[in-house]
Amino acid sequence: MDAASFQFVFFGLVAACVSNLSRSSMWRSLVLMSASIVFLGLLTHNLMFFLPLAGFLLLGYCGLTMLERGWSKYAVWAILVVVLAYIWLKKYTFLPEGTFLSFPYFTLGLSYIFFRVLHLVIEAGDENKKLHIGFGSYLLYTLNFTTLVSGPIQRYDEFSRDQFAGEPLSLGPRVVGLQLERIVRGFFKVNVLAMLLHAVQQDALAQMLQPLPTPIKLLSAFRLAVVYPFFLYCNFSGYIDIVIALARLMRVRLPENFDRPFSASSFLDFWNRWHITLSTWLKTYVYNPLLVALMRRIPSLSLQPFLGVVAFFVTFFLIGIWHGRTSEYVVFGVLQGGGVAANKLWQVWLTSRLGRKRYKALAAQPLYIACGRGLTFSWFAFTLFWFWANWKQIDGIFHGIDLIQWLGVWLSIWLSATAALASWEWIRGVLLSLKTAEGPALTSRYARVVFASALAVVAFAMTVLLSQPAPDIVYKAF
Amino acid sequence: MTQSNRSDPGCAIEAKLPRRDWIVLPMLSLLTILLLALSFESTTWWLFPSSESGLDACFVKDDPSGNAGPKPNSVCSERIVESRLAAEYRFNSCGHRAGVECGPKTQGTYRIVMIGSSVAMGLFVPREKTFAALLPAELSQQTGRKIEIYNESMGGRFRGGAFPTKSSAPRFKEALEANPDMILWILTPMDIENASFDNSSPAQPPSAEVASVPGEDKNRFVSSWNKLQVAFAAGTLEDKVRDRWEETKASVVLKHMLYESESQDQYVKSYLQNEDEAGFLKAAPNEKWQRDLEEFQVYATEFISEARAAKVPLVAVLVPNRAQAAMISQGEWPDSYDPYKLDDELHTMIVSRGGIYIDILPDFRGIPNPERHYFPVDGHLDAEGHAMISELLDKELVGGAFPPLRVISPPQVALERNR
Repeated sequence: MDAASFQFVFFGLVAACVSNLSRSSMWRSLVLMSASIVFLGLLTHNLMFFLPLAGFLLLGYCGLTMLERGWSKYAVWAILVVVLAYIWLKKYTFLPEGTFLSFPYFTLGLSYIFFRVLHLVIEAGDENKKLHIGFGSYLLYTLNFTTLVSGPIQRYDEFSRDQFAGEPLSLGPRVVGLQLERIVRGFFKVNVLAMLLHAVQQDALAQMLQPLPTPIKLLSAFRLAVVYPFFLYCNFSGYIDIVIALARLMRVRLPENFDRPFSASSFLDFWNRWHITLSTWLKTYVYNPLLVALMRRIPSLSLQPFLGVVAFFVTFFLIGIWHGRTSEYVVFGVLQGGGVAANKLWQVWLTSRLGRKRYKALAAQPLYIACGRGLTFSWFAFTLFWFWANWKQIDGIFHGIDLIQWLGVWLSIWLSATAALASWEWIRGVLLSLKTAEGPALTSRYARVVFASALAVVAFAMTVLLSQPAPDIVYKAF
Repeated sequence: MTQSNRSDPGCAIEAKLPRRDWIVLPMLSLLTILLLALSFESTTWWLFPSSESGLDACFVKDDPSGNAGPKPNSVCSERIVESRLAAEYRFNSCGHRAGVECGPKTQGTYRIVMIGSSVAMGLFVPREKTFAALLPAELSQQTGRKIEIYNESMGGRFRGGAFPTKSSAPRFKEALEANPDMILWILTPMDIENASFDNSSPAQPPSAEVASVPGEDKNRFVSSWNKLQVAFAAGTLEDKVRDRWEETKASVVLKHMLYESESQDQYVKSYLQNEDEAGFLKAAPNEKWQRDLEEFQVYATEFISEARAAKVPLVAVLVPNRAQAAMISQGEWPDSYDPYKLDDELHTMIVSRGGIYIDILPDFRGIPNPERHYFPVDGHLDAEGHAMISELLDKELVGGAFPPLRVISPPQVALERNR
């Protein structure tokens, strides 16, 4: 069952309906637990495959229990053990291959379970916070099927606030309608937009790796770089839309994971809008403590802005390598960290040159914002090659045209992105300014129903069409 | 168009939905769906015109044997959604789309009688753009001889049978009676598949009209409702809805646009999911295809021996289907597949029985994206595809594959064209 398929949506809707048969938190928790177990069972039938995951969860809970009982001096060790266990189960390539488990096992969602477990262990190690979590609640939180596959990463306090509330969140017709609309929108993004963009990307990749005339290769390079960020956005945010809506129908609010990331005017701002829960988690548990530690060690006031640069680099490097276990992701991490660090350095330098007030005025200039937006998009598009391609493909792609031509391609990407994204912001502003008494006309419930219905029809038609293999001769009786 | 979804509307006290919205919103949704469907269907009718009637108009309706060919001296035309051209089908007094009247060949003419099914007949393509029409001019120019192709190809199980089927044996005798110097047998993978199909029993043409009796509207509604209930009970409702959807022009147009936009690699991967139809592309064809090949072998043996008895050389050639052409052009395929497999089998079969086999499949390796010269949904060759096949046949025939037409120093035939 794909995470954004008809089957998954249907499964989630059934779970939501059953969950809403009673308002009691016990009933809702029972339904969520059952649905999560059934979901895992549908992904694989072999119980043996779950043993390592079960072991990891048990390890996390042992650490948690130990810390809750006052053994907080072992908090660092508990965190280290969880991190090492994760790295080992994910088979990061810098570990000796001989140490890995030789049989196949289930790792889907492990990356997100890791964050949830580590979050609990860290919070439990904080002596100021009295945290007690029962084993059932722990499993409910870590194995929640709505966040299992690809997040969002939800804090336990937010989860328990909604899941165990005596009086659950309201679920009236408006909320139901909004969630159904969100499901349709997410489904359309994944199954139509992402599918079409993926086809364009594959076509461009095939052309880059073939001996074709230079003008075609240049266009292919442009397409290859530009299309993937949009594909990734549609693919990921579409799935997130679906799970957030399903969870809300089960009266649990999941945190948002995207906030119009291509509107970001800087790479730092981009990571406040892209995979928000991931960057928030790492900022909370890596950036902030690291910065505090660095500031304690290096009290020099003049160096403090640069400590922020270092802390950003480390944080976003970890974000990069979390995505995958191979050397490509190390480079991806370096580029993410490097991009954020460079952005921060630029801000620090510009502030020191212009003064805070003038820098703020400059940063508010539409042209500065537009250029920053274009540059952010271009840099992100560049870094994504190490996200989706292997070294052989990267080599083929970057040798497809020469260096000068690549520079030209990136320049044109930056200029196009600057113009296109600025135009989009302007159009969006104009459209949202068309107001009725209740607010922007295009976000009224009538407009949303029309929009969602149209998307549903198109998504359904495309999915039905695409579920069929390419046809043989229709008139084959001839 | 959405604003930032950071705040959940459910957090605040939810405003009540006005009562009228319980009716207005669902109606708005239904209206949107209807308008979208209607406007798309209308737009496709306008942008992608097609003819109401087609090849069926040239055939006898309600033919009891199901084997009758087209009506002699009949003319009909057809334009499918995927084609920019309307194809006129003009059948001579013998019911052949030959371009000339049936009769003995003129003196000094080298007559090639072409047999085959819809691809060889040039379905959906104007006759002057088919390879049956283009090839004689190319051959004549190269060999310096007057060469004529008399096309006796005909497709369709309702139309006297494709070559070969049980009912096409008498039609082969017709081919010999046309006094050919050579019989050119155009084969396609579909012909192999159809070889096991028995069209000796009468069958309704697909476009057979059922006359409506006045006053039957109410009964038709009841009948439709009953059909719906039966389909729901039998669990075939989804299939029926899908079939109905696939009958719409919108469905064909959407598929056409989708398949046309697919890269070669995506198309091939998508096609290979069709396990039954793509079975002949496997390195080890499945049981069904092996049976089909065995059936075909019986007809091939019969045709070749009859041709040999009449001292007429029979030359066979396999024209690949869309996916096969794409795979060969790509030059790579999954391990368990071999697009040359069927070609090799036919080569062995034909040659071992005394026929001649010419092989045009390897030439597809040098043609970029040949699949673009087939109608993406329907799968038949379009006009450019026919021109492509004509060039390939010309190259092989004058290049030595068939000695009587061999030219000592054949000029280079450009196979890579900007299309």
